[in-house]
Amino acid sequence: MSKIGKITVKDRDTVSSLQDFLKLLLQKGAVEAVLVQQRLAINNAVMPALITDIENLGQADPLAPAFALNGARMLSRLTRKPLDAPIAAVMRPCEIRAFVELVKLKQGSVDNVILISADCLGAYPNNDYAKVAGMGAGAESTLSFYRNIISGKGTAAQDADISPACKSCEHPAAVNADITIGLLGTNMEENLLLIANTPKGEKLLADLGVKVEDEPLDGRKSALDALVGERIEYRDRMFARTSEAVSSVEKLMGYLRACVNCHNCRVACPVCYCRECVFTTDVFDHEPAQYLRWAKRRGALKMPTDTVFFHLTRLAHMSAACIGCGQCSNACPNDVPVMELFRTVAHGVQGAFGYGAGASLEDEPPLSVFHEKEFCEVTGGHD
Amino acid sequence: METKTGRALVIGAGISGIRSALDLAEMNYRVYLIDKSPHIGGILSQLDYQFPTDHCGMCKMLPTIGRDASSQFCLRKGLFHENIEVLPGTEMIALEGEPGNFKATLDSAPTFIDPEKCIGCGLCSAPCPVSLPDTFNGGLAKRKAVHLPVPHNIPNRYTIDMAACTRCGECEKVCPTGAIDLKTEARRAFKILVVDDELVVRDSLKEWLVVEGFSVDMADSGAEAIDLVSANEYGLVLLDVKMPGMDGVEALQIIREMKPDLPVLMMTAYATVETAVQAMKIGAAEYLMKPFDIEALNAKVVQQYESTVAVKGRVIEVGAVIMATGSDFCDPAKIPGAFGYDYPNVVTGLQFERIVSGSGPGAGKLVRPSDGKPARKIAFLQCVGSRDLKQKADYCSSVCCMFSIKEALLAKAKSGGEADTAIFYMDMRTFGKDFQRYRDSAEKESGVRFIRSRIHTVEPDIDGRLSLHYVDGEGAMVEEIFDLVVLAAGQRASKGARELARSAGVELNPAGFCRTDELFQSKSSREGVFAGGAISGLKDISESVIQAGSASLEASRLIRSKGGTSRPPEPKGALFKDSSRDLPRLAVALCACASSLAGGLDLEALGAALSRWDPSIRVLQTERVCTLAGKKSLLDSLRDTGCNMISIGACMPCLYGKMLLDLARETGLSPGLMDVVDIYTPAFGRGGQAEARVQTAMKMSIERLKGADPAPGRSFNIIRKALVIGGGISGLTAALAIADHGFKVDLVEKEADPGGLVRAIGSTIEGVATSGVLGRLVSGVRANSNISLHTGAEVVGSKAYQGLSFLTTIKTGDGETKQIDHGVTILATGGKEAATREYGFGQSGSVVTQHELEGRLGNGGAVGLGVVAMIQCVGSREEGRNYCSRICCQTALKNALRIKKDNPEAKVYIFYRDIMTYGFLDAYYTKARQEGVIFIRYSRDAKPEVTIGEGGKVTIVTRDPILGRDIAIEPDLLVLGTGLAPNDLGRLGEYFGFEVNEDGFFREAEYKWQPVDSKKRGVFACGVAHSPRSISESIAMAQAAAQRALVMLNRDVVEAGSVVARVRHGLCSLCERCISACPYGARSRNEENDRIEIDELACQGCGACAAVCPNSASVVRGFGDRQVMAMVDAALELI
Amino acid sequence: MQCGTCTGSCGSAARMEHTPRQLWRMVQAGMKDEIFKSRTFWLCSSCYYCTLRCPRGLPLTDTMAALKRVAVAEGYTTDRKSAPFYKAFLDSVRKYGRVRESEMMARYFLAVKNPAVPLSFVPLGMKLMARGKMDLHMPGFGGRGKLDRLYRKVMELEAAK
Repeated sequence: MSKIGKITVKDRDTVSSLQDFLKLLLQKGAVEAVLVQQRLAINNAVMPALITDIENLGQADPLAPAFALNGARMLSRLTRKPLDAPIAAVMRPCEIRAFVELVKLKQGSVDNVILISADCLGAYPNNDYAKVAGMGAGAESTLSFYRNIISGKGTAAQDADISPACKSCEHPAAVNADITIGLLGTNMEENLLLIANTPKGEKLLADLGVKVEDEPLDGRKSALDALVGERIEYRDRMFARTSEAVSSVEKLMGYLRACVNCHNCRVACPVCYCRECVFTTDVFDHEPAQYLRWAKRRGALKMPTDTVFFHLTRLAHMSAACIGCGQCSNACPNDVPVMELFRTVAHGVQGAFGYGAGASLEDEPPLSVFHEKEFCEVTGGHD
Repeated sequence: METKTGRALVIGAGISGIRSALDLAEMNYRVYLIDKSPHIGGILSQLDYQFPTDHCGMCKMLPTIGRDASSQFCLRKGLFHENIEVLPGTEMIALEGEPGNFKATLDSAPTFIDPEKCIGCGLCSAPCPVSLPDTFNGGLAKRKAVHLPVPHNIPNRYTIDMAACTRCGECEKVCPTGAIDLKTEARRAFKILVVDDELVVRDSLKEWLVVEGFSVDMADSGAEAIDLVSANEYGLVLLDVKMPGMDGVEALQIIREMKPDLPVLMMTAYATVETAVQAMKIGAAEYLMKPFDIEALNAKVVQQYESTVAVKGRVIEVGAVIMATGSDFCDPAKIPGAFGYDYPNVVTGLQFERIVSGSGPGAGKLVRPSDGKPARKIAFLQCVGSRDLKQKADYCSSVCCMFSIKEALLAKAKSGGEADTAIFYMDMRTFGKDFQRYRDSAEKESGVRFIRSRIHTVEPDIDGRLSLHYVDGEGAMVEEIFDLVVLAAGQRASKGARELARSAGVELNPAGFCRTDELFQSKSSREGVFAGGAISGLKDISESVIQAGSASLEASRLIRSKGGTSRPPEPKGALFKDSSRDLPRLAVALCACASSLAGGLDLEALGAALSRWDPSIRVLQTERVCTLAGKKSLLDSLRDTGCNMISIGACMPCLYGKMLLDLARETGLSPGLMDVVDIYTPAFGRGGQAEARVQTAMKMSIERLKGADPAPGRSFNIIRKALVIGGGISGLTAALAIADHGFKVDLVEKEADPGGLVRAIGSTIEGVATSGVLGRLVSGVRANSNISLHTGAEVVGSKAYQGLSFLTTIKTGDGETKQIDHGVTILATGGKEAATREYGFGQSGSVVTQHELEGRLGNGGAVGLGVVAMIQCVGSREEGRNYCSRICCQTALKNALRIKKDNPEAKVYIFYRDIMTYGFLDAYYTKARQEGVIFIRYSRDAKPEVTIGEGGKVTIVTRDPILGRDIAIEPDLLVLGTGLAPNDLGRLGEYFGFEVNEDGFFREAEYKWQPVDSKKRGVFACGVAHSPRSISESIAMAQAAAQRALVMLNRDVVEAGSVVARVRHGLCSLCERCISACPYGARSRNEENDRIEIDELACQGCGACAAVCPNSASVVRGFGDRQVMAMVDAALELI
Repeated sequence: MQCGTCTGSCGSAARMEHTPRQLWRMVQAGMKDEIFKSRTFWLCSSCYYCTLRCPRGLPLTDTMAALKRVAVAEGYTTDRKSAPFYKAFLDSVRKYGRVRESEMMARYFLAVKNPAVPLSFVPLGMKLMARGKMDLHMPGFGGRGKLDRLYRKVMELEAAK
């Protein structure tokens, strides 16, 4: 039993009904601003915006099956130092989870932030979304995306489909948002659920005057389970495929062959939080003579150097915090399947530490805690 | 300026001796650390795993402040400190003079292998024909007469067991460096006179001794013997006791008059043993029993011979002596009576340690010694030779319970949880800090079985297995079959204790341990001679380390009071020049000495290869760089080339610590810019492979130096004053100890009068009145002008500044606040008798605590008591306060004995779970039972039930586990042993940056090795604030804490190590991962400037921060990314 | 110390209703009646194993014997088989200076006044006889009557206590 409020959808226009709810936040003075995806006038793309004017919320489309970048990075920018007024952030579950990781890394704070997240049924890769969204059609593409899903047509449209990261995502609902906007287990063309997961969320619903009732969520649970089941199946096939593809150093080098060291994946990665990446510091500023020495030793030196090392280092640093949003692959100009590699490794790493990235603010990141009897099977326990 | 330096002698280089030596060395005393054996480490060299982590941790004793003065090197392998001279194979044979001004005479065992020449190659061992049980492995393996006494020592030199050596000379022949000299000539020159009236005896003795290489003369009567002795120089006389005419004793007397230094061994038949013993009183060295056991005879003769060829009589002047020769184990196989302790699969705890040790005979596999099959059912028998009146051991060995639990857990770990382990015990003595929880977890989580039953005999079963018969908890007889039986062999006074006591002029107690002051346990009967560690009684590692600290404190106090100083000469100006702005110019010096060692390494080729690797370096060829001449020529070459970094390719880098420092002082280059590479290590192998490996090692060293940070370690200020919080026995002791070293101390006590817990105690169980010592301490503190005593005062705030500097605010009784600045803090906040609501406490006047009883007994309260019952462990050793309060059992016994003494008719019942009379306290348990005190055991799950009837009448009903039925007692008085609880520390932890454990006690940095330190520099704790302990234990701990504090106060500045972490703020994202990763609490975020800051004194350069920092914003000096990657590249170059 | 060594080492413990450890406990608790009604101490065969093994060096076997003596002195012997056995043994010794086994057994059987007891020994007796281990002939002894004085003296001394 959870505290559940409802948004009644008018005219089967889920998006504008949601906009109305967000407007309520500003109207009632519950927050000073809302960080939410906003439709751009130019090519119907969506980008995050920090909105203070109720009117601008008319362009908000948090349900659009797209996210040009992981919004957690943006929210981190807003909250790295204490905020003096409350804001709301409407983000996808993976963005919320990335933000949770960043908060644990002291790159942001949840003080004065209300996290709102709608159930996520997936998003298209950036390049494909332009096709799907059409020109100037407003939120129509969003509504049709959901209609297709409800009618059983699935997510594929216009030769495009949601990204592999989304297909393999086992967290379509953000359980750690203050408010979850429930689409699953309800007819989203008639009703949206407002599920308060935290005391902060409950207080918000009360402040907004939303009527709440205790309601069992059986229908929602079975819908979620079914969706997660499908995704886990996809995910495990992906893990198997990827593990095989990188099962030796040679294969790994082949897997990453197209990498040109542009570091876009690291820039797009929400949890890669270093102010300056070690790969852009003097450490990798090799002496010119060094290249020749390496080349001599091996007969040939692949250029650019350090590409595999770059990915391995990023895996070492971030796989415990990887939340699987897939923005790395989204950002790759050469279609290196970075997400698949990261998620496969992250699954093993996080499993080994019994840690779920982004699951909870309370779980300490694996490297921050010391357990005396950890990995005895590796260390031998005593020696 | 004082120039005189204090010196101290520490005897015994086991754990306590090392601790004492390091303590005094860190205070800049000159320390001689001697040990009879050829190696340091004592028993710890044989133990790989220690409670509570089941790892070693000895290195944690190394200095953390000013750590560059000591090699940061595994202490089980070697000890290198610039103020310590380690003398293995050395004994003190005489101690003359006055406290503060002793002359100690040292004898060193003869060395048949020159340690300077031995390179540890082991070629000598192969041809040695002798094979005998390997003492290091508890006799589980074999070794040769020429052997390594400890496999992992560095440097590791071979030694010869001359008692077993046949002097065949094979080892001499094969030694590549000519290090072995069996001194055959010297043996021939050693003349022995054999005196016996029986020709057969004379002849056979002569034959044996000549085979052994000695020269022998014979005499058939006392008279002839005297003639011969007067005319010749003999090394030894073997003298028969019973001879016609002049008998042996008479002859001995005359020989003693003629040549008092000539050793005489008496030879005696069984019938005249008494006479022989008499003879020893008039100066015979030993006696031998007929018929002779050739090996025993040989051993004794060789012992006499070796003492004559020993390096005799080095006399050193020292201010104080610390005896730290520890204790020994009894040999269960030698306990008379067929206990079955000598079957092959019955081993001692120590042998078990060797079995599971990676350096042991079976490379750490858990197998049975008899056949190497896996040991999967293992029994541990406690109290073998302890708590045994028949063995004259009316004491508890104190360490075995934890030792066995640890070994049972090791067995579980080594077998992947498969092994079934059962510990058979009488009382499980988990009296130390966190022992009880360790036991509980062994039982509950690891499934170690604890069976309260003493095994009477080990009986053989088929196939090498062993059968044990015992009574189980229900009283039923059980037979169980085991693969391996491990005996917790009881401790004994160390073998040499008696001789040492004689030469040091101190008394021993009846058990053969050093007799110490009852409350000040480091004080022996001779002023200036102190007892450190287990020589003062039965102690585990932690207690030994504390005791060692207490001894070094007392030694320092004495040396100081006699005018010795611990101040080093002031350094003139900056030690090393800052070459951070100079161009790096690197020299490589390759030492050619004994290049044959590495199978003829071609140094020219090596030099050429290195020059090719980096043409900018200068390659120098040197010779014997470890000698003065070698060093001088190296210095000259360095000066000629103008190089400012040097990598030396030589041998045994650990020995170069001191030399590099000398070199650094003479050249002005920081030692951080010098490196020594062992290019002769056998690990490199031989031939071409070795050349490639040497080259790689040198290249790595070159790359390491090229990236080295030339800036020296930073120094910080220290406020040379101490704050002691708590004016109980611990606080008073610590404050006085520091004040006696000339430093100012502020002592803060919250009560109006100092004294703390001790005021509630009349006398100790030994019968020492506490008022005396407390009175002396209080008046000592009041009279000491260095101490400001603040009573009725409490600490209300404190802030730490850079370096060792605190500013603390206290509030006095009249509401006034005062600011106190200090560099070190000692926490001695003590504890209190724990409160209880159990067993009807508070409901009847007949239910009292032990303290209340003690108060009554002082006023003749025992008279009129008919029945007294005592319940132990009230609220203790169960969750809530799951620890043993350690003092309650002895308090109960003390009070019970007092009642029995004042009123022998009184019946006293003690309800207990385990009686915790560790060490010599066990004798009081024996005494109490003799006096008729009845002990009734109960378990945590079935406590006695107490009902309070009308008029407060108390009835106790409990199940007697032996009779298996309920018994009821109606005592006049029920006394509850409620144990000790710590005083509330309030916000002190926050103020001073130390942690508190779940029971509210101070959490030390490391239980065994740093028992009084906190992780926060300059903050220490002692006494009950740390854990429950008795008065004498609190005093020892207070002294140990004062000692640690003095190490810091004794400096003008404190130097951080040169290897410390640094933050590159421009790269830092402030994620604070490094803060949680730092094990030393050395990092914090400065909220004012939003930066991560490092406390360089606390930082130990471990690199955990650098490892968690994803973009190397945190780096460790001397281990930069580029530097390490260049080293990796160098390492891979030839692969 | 209630370590249980005595019980563990006792060959007869399995047949005793209270193990030796329990017995000592009962002694401490002063449970006189129960002790003397039990047959525990009578079953002690004086092998001295417990005394040898006791880490405290307690004279346990001697204490068992003392219990037997007290039991006889205080008349706790009525329904016991062991007391008549000891008595028969000692009477035989007193008379002859050594044990005359056949007569001793006969006296013992008479004393227990229970025909089942001698009958229960028949199989053992037959076996012993078959192997020549039992001689029905009553040897004459040089020591006859010599110990009687000693016995009387001891009795006098004990009476004087």
